[in-house]
Amino acid sequence: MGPDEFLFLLIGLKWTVALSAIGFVCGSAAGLGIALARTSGIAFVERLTAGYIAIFQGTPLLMQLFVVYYGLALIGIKIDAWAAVSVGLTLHASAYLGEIWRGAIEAVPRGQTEASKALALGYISRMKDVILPQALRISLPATIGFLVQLIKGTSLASIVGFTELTRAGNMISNQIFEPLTVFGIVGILYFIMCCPLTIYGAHLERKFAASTR
Amino acid sequence: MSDISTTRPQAEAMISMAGVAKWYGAFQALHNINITVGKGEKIVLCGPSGSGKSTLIRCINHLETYQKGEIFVGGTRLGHEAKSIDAVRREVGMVFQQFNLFPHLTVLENCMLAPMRALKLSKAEAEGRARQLLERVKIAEQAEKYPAQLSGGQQQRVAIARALCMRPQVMLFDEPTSALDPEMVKEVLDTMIDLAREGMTMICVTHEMGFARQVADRVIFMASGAIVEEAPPAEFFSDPKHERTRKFLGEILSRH
Repeated sequence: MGPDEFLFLLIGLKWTVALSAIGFVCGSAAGLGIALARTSGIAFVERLTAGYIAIFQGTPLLMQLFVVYYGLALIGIKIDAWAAVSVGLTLHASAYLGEIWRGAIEAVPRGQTEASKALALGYISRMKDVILPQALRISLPATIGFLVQLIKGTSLASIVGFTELTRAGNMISNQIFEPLTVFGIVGILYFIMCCPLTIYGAHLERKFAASTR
Repeated sequence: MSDISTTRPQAEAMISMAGVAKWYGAFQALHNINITVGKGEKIVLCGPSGSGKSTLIRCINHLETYQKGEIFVGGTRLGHEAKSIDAVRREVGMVFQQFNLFPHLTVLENCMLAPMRALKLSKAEAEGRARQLLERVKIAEQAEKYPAQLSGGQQQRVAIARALCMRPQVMLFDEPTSALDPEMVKEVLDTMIDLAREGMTMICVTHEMGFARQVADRVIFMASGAIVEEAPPAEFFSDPKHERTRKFLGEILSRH
C-alpha cells in the first residue's frame, strides 16, 4: 500500500471525525433538551420523550440511517448522504445522551433541588448553576463511553454510500487486493481515536469514585 | 396558650397559618394547623419523629404543597402559583439537616449564587455581602474552600450564612444539629443564638431543649400531624398539660 492510498484513508478518517463531532455536538444539544424534558415533571412531556428514547434505543443505528436516507427521499425530501447521516447520528445520539443525562440529573441528591428552591432560584438558574454541573460530572464516564460507541457507529454511514474511514478502506482494498493490510490500518486508526477516550473515561470514573467516598 | 398568638394584631404577624391541612394520598400528614408568628418571635417546634414538624415548616416556603388552609408570610399570601412562591422564598431562609451546600461551588460562591440570581445583585455586591455574613458566622477564613473540605459544624454555619445572604425576614431551621457530631452542635447553636439575639424571626425544628429554654418565645409540641400544646418554654417544660407532651419530654430529657 502506497502513500496515496494511505492519504485516501486519512481523508476518510477526516470525515469520520467530522461525522462523530457533528453527531456528538448536535446530539448533545438535542440530548440536553430531552434530558430536561424527561425530568420536567410534566407527565405528557415525560412520556413523549420516553417514547422517543425507546424508539432510538430499541432499533439498530443502521436501520435509523436507512430510514432517514431512503425514507426522506421517498416522501420527496431529497438530501445528500452527508446530511442524512448527520441527521441520523444526531437523532441517535440525542436519545442515548438524553437517557444518560436523565439518569445523572436524577442522581443529584434531592436536597440540592430543595436548597436551590429555598434560595428562590428559578428553574433556569437551578439547572444551570446547581443541578447540571453536578449531573455532568456524574455522567462523564458514561458520556465518554457513548462517544466511543458513536465514533465506531459512524462506520455504518459507509452503507448509505458516504465515504468515511470504513468505506475508504473498502475502496482501497478493492483496488489493491490487500484487505488484511488495509483493514488492519483502518482498525488501528479507529483504535487510536477510541482507546485514549476509553482510558480517559476510566480515569475519570476512578477519580469520581475517589472524590465521593 | 394558643390564644396568645391569635390575639396578636395581624399587622405584626410575620407568618400566619390558618387551617392548613396536608395529605399524602390517603394519609393525612397535617391536621388543621393554626400558627401565628410575630415579627422577631422565636418558635421551637418539637415532637416525635413523623409528627409532621418538618412537613409543617416546609409548607411555609412551599417545598411541600398543602391542600387546605392559608399561609401568609410577611403579608404575602402564599398561593400555589410561581409568582407568590417566589416572593415568599425570597423572604424566607431555610437551613436543612443535611446542610445541602452546593458541593461544586466554593463557600463564597455558595453564598453569592442566590443573591446574584434571585436578587440580581452585582458580583461585587454579592461578594461583599457574602464575606460580611461569613465573618458573622465566624468562618470568613474558609471562603475559598469547597464544602467537602469543612467539618459538619462549619458546613452548617456556611449554610446559615448562605441563607442570610438573601436578607430574609424569617429563618426556618429543619433539625439543623441532628446530623452533626456532638462536639459540633454547640458552634451551630451558638450561631443560632446570636441570630436570635439580633431579632431574627425564627422557627426551629429541633430536639435541643437547652436551646429552646434559652431562646424560644414559645415551644410548640406536635404529634400525629397536629399541634398538641403550645406554651412559653418555662411553662412548657415545668407544667406540660398533655399526656403526650409529658411522655415526649420524659423521653427527650432522660437522654441528656
